[in-house]
Amino acid sequence: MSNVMIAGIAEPVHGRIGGTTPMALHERLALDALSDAGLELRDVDAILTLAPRSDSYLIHAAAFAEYLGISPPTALTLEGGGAAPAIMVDMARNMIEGGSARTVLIVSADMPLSVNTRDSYINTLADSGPVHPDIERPFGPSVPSLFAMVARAYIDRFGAEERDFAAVAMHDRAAAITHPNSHMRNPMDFESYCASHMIADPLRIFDCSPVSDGGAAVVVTSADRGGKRPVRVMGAGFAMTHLHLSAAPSLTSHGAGLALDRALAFAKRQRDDIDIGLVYDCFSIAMLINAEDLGFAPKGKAGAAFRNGEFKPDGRIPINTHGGLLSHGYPGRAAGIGNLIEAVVQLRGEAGHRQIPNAKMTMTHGMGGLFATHGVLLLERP
Amino acid sequence: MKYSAPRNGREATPHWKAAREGKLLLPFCAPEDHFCWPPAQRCPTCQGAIAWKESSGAGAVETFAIVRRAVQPEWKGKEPYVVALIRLDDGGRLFSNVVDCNPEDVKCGDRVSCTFVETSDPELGLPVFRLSSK
Repeated sequence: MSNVMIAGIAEPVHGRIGGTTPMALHERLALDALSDAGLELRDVDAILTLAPRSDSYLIHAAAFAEYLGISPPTALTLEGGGAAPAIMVDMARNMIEGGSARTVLIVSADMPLSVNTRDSYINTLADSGPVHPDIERPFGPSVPSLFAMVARAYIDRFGAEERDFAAVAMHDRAAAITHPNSHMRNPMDFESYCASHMIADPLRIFDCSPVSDGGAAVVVTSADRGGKRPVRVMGAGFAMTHLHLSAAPSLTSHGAGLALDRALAFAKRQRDDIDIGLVYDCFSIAMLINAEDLGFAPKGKAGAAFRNGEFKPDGRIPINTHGGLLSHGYPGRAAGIGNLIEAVVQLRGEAGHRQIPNAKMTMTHGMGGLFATHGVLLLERP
Repeated sequence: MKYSAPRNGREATPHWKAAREGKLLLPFCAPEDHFCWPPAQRCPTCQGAIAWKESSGAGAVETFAIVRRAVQPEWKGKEPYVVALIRLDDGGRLFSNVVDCNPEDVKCGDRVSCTFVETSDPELGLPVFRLSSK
């Protein structure tokens, strides 16, 4: 069993974070997470970051270390899309177990709302996001329209209805409303869902994540330095099948389940051991397909399961108890790290009124591109 | 509106140059006939050499979306329009537009035929699709 722990976390309130800069946000999160772990900046011997879209450097992690005034041997910025949180924690576990680091500071934050504008951020995504520059971009797709094409194929194949998509959006919103760090906290019912405007048929604005400032920091270290409330890193699993929609082998079933199988095999755990699922849901269709591929519902049936309350906090298997990307927030490059933070908070028993009783193991899923790359991280209460 | 050009000098340049001449030319591997898209130097499935074949351009809509909020500058003001994945009868699958239609009329499985548009690069064209008359 892994001796590597998540010892500290920090997460800001998502939404518009005014009066700061991307680097200052990284610093605040780093210091808060280290303080949470009972560690100090000088204890950090590796920094892992993602390149924020709001702040560009040759090596962002090295620029961040420079900003902090520390010289860790390793300062690495990686590209992993929404699968990055699982990749970074697993990389930290490997570094610690391999002896090249004792304490790894992971910071993943972005300010696409305050530093870019929402519209310019969405344009950036269409130019350098999951849209192929040559074989897709000339035809004018937005990122929501690519997910809408998947949604249309899913509807065509399984007969899904508007109420299935609405059930996902309403589920996330209900969870986010009382979360102190969530971006979207206005109540949503089926009527308001149906009244929200079409962005790319069949997806409405409420099927899409908001653009948020936010992110999080995570401190990974060995058990002997693990602080007062450590959570054990059991292992991770990964899968990729393509990057661009044009090259996807399927439109309705993808790699999340394979990533989960690999994570379970590594951690020597079973699907039944999962007490909470944190599923990457940048769009409602991503939740439907990923939840099915992860085995939480049969193919084509996730919408019914959401409608029946099977994924509510008191349901069969609680999913996205923090509101997911759809309502907790979508902080640009850092999107997905919120799923990891919620897993740690739940395993520590600190989720307050959101707390799932006796949560022992969580499954955190992240996804990059158009259902292209998947990372699953398993964490346990020690 | 002129379509923005793909980057010339890439693996798919023969396809775009043929489109400028009104032909749909698609890459398949020579040994196994796998459709290779986006094209590479070798077939990603069997490592075979790439061979270009002319397609009839007849096919069907596999899936599509109606864009209500465009992001690329040249598309702003053109909404609503249809982006689609097209399955071609003689093999192959292309990301493209369904043009000259009421977007609300498009359905998965609709039959389409190919036509061509010019781009901002005078050497390169692109294939787009029209609904076949029912």
